[in-house]
Amino acid sequence: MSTQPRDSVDRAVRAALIGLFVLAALVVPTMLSASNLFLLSAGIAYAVAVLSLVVLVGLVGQFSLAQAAFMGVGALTAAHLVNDAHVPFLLAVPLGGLAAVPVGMCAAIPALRVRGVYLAVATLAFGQALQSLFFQTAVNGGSAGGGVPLPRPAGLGGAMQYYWFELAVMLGMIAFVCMFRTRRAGRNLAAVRESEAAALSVGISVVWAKVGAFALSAFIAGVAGVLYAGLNEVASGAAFTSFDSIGLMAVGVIGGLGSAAGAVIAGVLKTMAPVLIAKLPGVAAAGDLVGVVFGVGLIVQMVTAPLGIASQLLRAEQRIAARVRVAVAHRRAAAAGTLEVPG
Amino acid sequence: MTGDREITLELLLATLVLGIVQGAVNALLGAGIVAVYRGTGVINFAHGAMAMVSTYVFASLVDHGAPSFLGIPLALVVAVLAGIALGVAVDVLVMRPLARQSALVRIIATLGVLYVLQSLAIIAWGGATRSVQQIFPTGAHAIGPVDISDNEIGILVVAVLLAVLLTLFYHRTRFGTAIRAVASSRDAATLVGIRVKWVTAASWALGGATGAVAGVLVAPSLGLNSYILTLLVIQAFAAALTGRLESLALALAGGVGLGVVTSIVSTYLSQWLASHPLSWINIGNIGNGIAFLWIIALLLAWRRPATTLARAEGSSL
Repeated sequence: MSTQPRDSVDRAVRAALIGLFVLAALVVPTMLSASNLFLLSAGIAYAVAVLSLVVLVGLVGQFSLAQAAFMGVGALTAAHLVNDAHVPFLLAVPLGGLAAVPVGMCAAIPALRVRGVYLAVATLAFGQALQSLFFQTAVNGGSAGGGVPLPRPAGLGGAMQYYWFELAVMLGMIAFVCMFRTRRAGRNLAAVRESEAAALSVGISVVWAKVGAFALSAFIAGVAGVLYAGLNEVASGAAFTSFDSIGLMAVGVIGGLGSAAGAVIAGVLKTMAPVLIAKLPGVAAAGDLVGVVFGVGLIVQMVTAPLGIASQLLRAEQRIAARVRVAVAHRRAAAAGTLEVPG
Repeated sequence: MTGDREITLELLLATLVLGIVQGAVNALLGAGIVAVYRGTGVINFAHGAMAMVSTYVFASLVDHGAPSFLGIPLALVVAVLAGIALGVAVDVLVMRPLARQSALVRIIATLGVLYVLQSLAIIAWGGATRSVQQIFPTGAHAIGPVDISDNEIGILVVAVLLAVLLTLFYHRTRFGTAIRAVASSRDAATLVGIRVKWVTAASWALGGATGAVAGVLVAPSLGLNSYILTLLVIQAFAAALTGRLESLALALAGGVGLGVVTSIVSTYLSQWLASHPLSWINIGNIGNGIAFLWIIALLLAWRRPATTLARAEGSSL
């Protein structure tokens, strides 16, 4: 996570890269086919979901295998609000996220006593309990996977319009998480991640740091669920199983759970990689081969580079910054009239 | 009035038997998790998925049928061998390259194994749920007012036998002692000449083998597809955690306890719900909720939780 810009050159390079990314995010979709635009939009929703994992794993060092269940709570709540109570869609998005918050805090109960892997076990059980007890009941559309309709408002009806909306929400979320990280609360979480004993010794409440991180994470995951359900215009509990949680963890590890960039890579990878896999020679349909690829990818990533694809990206960024520094030094030296060039 | 009470007693007994059998299954799967944890320190999320693949091997062999008289024992042996091969493959292909990483990294890697096996199973055997032939005869015995099938008795016997044999193995044999030595200190074990690689491979093999047995025993009543057994790992965790991932006797007790509680709650809740229908909750699946509460209760009740936080608190007292 030592990715904070240090000087003006770092900041300029970071700004340029973000600008490039936003430009690409604005231009590329206009060139995509309708089905690929749909997949990219789903990828953005998943990117927000992986961002919720970044908050837990990257910021505070806790693991959760219940993220898809938090998505489901958000999606189903929003669908009921829009469909039954006629709440405006735009209001239902944050409300869906808020509905997931107390659920996320329940999942954090074991964090009072244990950490790491035991928490992962408990969250897997929690997510599965939510899924099997509530997600496919008659109220939520039955076990056939019918779901609850989540109609989009007129202004967001078109595929491209909805993509812009998702992109705006994702960028807003990323901006919030990045700002949160450098504030006091965010630094407290980092302290808990590095050493609970040390955090405790400087007066940080480890328990509240974890519960708070779960609350924030569940909110983001809940919003991701609403985005995903809005894309399909139906909130179906069948889309938020334990295997989806495990899948989010897998692509998250491949993309890199230490940074927002990793979340974006992971989300886009989750929906766009199958398109590429289907193009491989001898593969008729990507289907369940995708699970094999992501599972193997998770393991390989663990062996080779536990920080994910994003870490390679950050290294590239640092190389660019180094080049820029040399170029700047050259120009300054030339302007000052010296012949000796430092660096 | 008396008739009513008899029916209630009958129901209670039947519920208890069902719970004990389901609990024995939890414990059987939990034993494999304990075996891998004791030898390697890894909590194996893929244990259910490995059991599922071995069970598919069994079911396919029975289908492509050698005569069932000899065919079923033979298929069981092959399924256990497949489980062993799977366990060793995970150790060699996944765990060894990660040997220098933390236990947490290796544990997350088992999620990758789960994902791969589940997807491969769908590719190889399809997504539909299929039935599996049971290895015990299909007879039943009346014990008091309740019928117990041979299959249920078989599951109980195997679960108890496995717990006893494994406990004896860990405490009475040289190799079992070596496993415990590696668990307590890898470096010290290496220094006294224990082959750590053999110990970890054997632990994974043991996990795979017991998983195969558990899968073959439970599949006839649950049905076989890519996810039922894979997710039964949650109940298995609940059982194994009861014994702090070490004691097989406690894991057996925990598994049975969880099974009985689940069975009683779901029977009586669904009876009550018959007159008070709820559309927002699926009581039939209450087992997963109880497993979660069971795990939470265990984790909160651990007097010496494995956290640095607790250690910090302990030292400040």
